[in-house]
Amino acid sequence: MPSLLPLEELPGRGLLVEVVGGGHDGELLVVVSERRGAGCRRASEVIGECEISDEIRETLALVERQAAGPLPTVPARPRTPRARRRDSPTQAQSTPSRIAARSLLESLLDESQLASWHDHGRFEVPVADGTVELGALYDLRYRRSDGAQFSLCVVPRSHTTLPLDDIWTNLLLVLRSDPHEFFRVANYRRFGSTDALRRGPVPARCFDVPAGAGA
Amino acid sequence: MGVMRILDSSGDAKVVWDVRDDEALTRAAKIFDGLAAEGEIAYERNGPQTVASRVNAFNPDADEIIWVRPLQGG
Repeated sequence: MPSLLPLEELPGRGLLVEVVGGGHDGELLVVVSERRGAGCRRASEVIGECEISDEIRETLALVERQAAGPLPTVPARPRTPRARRRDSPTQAQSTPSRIAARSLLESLLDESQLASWHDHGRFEVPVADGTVELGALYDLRYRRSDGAQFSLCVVPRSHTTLPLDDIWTNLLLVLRSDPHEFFRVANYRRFGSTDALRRGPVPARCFDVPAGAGA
Repeated sequence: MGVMRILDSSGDAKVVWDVRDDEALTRAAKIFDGLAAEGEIAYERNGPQTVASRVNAFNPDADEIIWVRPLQGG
């Protein structure tokens, strides 16, 4: 039976997990508890854009029963440094999909991004008027040069079928080559705000990538 | 020898071609056009640690083409 690797607590949304093993290996799911209030679906139902098999449904049912208590706590920050996690491979990290995705992502990072990725599990991408930090799914931090900060929610189409590192590769390449599109489709809110996400475009002042910061 | 890397649940699916192999070239070009028609986005990279640039047409001489998906608000 496949297992679920907890990745990150998503405030107000549930627990991001990765399926390990089976036919859905590498896919991402958001697990929510029944107790999370109206509007939340049961974990054993289809979540996001992913259709799940009976096998996965059984696993989710187990998680759901565990979630009858408090949701598992997975500290979002500070994360265990990626390098250490890689040195102590879990089942998920030893799977070919994760290895391939990790390898591709790291080949696209510059030296400082790679160091940050290894140390903190996130890295910054420069844009014309600030930086966007990749590493926390559904909560990308956009630090505008005037000091304003925003939490962005933008993902590749059908992202739940991608290994997590491929999601970063996807976001990285589009952000570097077409920041206008990235900011246009992103949902956002002021960082630290509990307001509902607003639909893009994000109030970025301009969308040109600085010279020398191309993909 | 060129390779297309198409991001998917396997990490990335690979399509390899050799410029001397017409059949492989045709197949790769057809896959490129099909993915482009689906709205996927292609980046070309020639050599590791080099800049990946967005491309809209199949280049048989490319070392590597990386396909990613269009973005949407989450």
